[in-house]
Amino acid sequence: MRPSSMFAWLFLCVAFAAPVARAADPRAVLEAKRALQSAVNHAAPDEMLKARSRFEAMSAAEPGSALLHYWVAVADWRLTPFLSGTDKVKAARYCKDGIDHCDKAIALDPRFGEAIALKGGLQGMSIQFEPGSMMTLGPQSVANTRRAITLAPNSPRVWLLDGLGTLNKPERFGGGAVPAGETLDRAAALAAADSSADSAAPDWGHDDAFLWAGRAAMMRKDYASAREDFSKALALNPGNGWVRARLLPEAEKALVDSAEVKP
Amino acid sequence: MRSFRVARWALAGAIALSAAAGAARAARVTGVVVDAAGKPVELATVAAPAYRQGTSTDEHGRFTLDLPAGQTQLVVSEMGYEARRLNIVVAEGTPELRVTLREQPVELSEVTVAASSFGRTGKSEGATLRRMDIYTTPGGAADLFQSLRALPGINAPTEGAALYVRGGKPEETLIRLDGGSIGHPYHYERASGGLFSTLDAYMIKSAFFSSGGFSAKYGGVLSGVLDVETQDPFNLKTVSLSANVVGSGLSTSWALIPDRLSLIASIRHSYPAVLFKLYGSATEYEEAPTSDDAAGRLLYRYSKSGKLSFTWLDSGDHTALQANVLNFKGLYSGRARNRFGALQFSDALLGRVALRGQASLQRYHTAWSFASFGGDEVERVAQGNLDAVWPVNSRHELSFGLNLGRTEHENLGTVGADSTDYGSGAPTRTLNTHPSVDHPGVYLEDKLRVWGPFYATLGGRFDYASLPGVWTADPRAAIAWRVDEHQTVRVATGRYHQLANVRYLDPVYGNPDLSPMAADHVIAGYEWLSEFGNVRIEAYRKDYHGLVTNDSTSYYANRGTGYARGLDVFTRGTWRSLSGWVSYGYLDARRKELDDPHEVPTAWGVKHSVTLVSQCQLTSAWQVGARYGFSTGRPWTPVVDRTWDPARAIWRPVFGEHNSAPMPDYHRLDVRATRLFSLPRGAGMPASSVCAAYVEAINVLAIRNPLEYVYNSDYSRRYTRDSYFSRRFLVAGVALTW
Repeated sequence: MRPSSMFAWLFLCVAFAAPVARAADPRAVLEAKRALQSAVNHAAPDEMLKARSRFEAMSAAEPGSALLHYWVAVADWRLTPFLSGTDKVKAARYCKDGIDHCDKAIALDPRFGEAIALKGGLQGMSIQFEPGSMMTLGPQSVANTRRAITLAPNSPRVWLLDGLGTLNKPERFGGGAVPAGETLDRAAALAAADSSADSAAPDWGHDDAFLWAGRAAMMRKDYASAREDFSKALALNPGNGWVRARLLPEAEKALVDSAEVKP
Repeated sequence: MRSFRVARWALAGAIALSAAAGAARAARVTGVVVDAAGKPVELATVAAPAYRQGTSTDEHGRFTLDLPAGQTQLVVSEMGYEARRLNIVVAEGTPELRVTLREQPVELSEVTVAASSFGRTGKSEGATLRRMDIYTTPGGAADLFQSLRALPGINAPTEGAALYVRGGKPEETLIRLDGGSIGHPYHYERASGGLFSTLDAYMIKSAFFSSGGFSAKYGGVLSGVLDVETQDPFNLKTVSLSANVVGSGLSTSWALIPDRLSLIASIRHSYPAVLFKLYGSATEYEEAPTSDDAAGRLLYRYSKSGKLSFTWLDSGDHTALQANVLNFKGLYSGRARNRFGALQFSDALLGRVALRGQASLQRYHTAWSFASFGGDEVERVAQGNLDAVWPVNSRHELSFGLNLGRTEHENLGTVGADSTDYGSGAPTRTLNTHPSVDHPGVYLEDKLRVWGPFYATLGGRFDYASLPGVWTADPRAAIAWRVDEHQTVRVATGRYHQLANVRYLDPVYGNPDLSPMAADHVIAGYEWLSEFGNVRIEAYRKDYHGLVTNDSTSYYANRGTGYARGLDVFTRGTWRSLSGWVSYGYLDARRKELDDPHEVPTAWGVKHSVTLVSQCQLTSAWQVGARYGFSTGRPWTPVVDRTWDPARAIWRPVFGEHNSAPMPDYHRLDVRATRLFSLPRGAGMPASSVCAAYVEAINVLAIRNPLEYVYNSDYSRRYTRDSYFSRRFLVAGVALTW
């Protein structure tokens, strides 16, 4: 054995044996992502908080990771609407925390389009907690989403967040189901083709894109499209309780009712 | 040979395994995280960043981490608690850790310790008045100063925009734009004391207003502070067009290089001739007044934390009208131009100290003529500020800084030598003055959490005035007791100095030995704040020393005194789609200055003033609002008799006691309806952003509020000169944004 081989072997042994400077475990990230998705499927805020705490722990251990900050912000984005119905102060706190984590992710990676879009989505959400800030946060939210689209034009999540912003905007301000539907359909089309080899990379929102495209279709009274979108959402994520228990049955019933009304 | 090779492999393996075992001699760290009451904290984060290891606590507050043996730092955190950093030694048999997290005290930056800062404060907007408030305040005409008048602490004696703060004159309030002092921020200042702001509300991000007891950061003023910050978006691309019967404007926020370079700009032109044609005017205009202003801000982000910006403002106005002074009526013509530029940077030093530097220049020029008099005045102000905020720890936040300033004033002209004689052949006095003064200063302030719910700011500043060459010291202190999350009690006190008006310091026509004037503030207040509303009550007293008085030998002296005391009450509430506020101010103010024989009521001292504002969001598109303002009449000096002057062949007035008679009370009701909408895509234009159309009825009750009294030629009859809004005006406008 040549000395160089021996030292290489020694190095490898030490490197694999010691936990020093180990990056976030991809399995841990994957597990946290699954836990978050499961919590969303079951509409369980307590479980979401637990999943969030997993991301938070990883992010605190590795504060230089833009992706981990991003995932904490995703958990905050998921949590905020669930909390706002019961505890507005807590919801506002998580929403703000999500924006802070997005800012950290963007500071680490200024061209991180997914984080910029998420920040835009959270800014839009935060207007409900402080309506007086609409004039500043509203345009900033739109500007962030637009910028994200230029940076990550093929991300279904970026289009999803853009579509949600449009859907929640009153019709008289250019929002509503019709313009949002176009954007959400695009998000859904991109979701069907979206894949990532990196287990830590953003890969959520595939079923959400179809879910919200379906919701927009329901608002337009296009029940057939809604049923199709909800079915696709369920095919992508069979565990989605909201779609399975409520949205799909509602679309099917609406379709039947509308067929009965029509002679 | 083969056995040697085997031995070598064995040796290498042994070394490698022993090294690996040494490095991996991990020990299990276990512990429990509890709150101050000993209850377990679930989902707290426990991390060892050095090893990129982290976990969270279970429902019993327990955690387990496998870490290499040796010394390391643990970071324990949870939302709502103060994070803790623990240095521990990891080894086999390390006893279980017990980490107590204390509830996070309200962040220092979130606590308003300073008194008299009514309205919303805090990190999110850090402002008393936001752009949205300016746009939606009924009767505010989307103007910063007109909207501010609806807040307590401003006892406005007229409809002008000038800020009379708690019995102080407008020049006793420091107005800053992006950190630079901007004098003359009003249009039509000389003719009316200022009617509207020269800064388009579109440019404004926030405006912090304090009516007393303010921070040591602000020097050189006796009564109040208005600190305006302009917008700073980096990625917006919007264009706005606005028009109403009084004028029009264009504004934009444009990202030139996303995340790097951005421009925010606005231009406005006002021409109220149409309004006067429709409704007439209380004033006889020879030419309809016009005003123009252009403002811009170029922002450059040169690093993650560093920003550089350049703000400029150029405004001008012109008016020509028939003006009355006592028993004389003549043509007044005035033209003014104000130019201001400020270069500003902000950055974080060592990631901890927020630094902000600013250098600004301002040049204000006004030319006027009235009867046979006239003049040209130029004021130049150069200023530099360096401010630092250092959050030392969770208990202390230090602010310190340096201010440099130079003010020059040129006054050329011919003015009346006798204030009761304006007719042809009246005696005149020629002015040719060029005083200038340098006024540097330094300040230091500590905002601290004293103990539990008690917060304080302690600090002071030193200022130097090159004329007359004196230093002044201003100690300031404020303490806030956060009784609970809704209630706060505040007490503040401090000394404030301000240079006498520079024109009084002229070596030839003034007194360069005039010392800076002084005021001592004592303020005590209570505040209740929740998401449903806000109640604030504040009592204050302000004692003036060294005010400028006329002097027969040195023109001017520092022999004036005075006081202002009063009470401000502010209550604001929201119920469903209704919101509104009531503001009441009581003021008792007296002064002895210039030719006052003793302390007399101040000419702008309005004893009682009430403002009621209500807004109703009828639908997401329709909003209606109303504002009612009432104030008791301001004091004025009556003419009690007359004498015939045979030399000049004119009647001269005999004045009564200074400011001994009250003007009639003032009332005004304004109503505003706003509709928000959006324009669809079409005609080559993209779909618009949020647009607004509004109709505002000003002085709905058509009450004729007198502005002042004038007389016939022999002072035998008295007339009132009505205020500018003494008619019912209906103003409609639209603002379109893409």
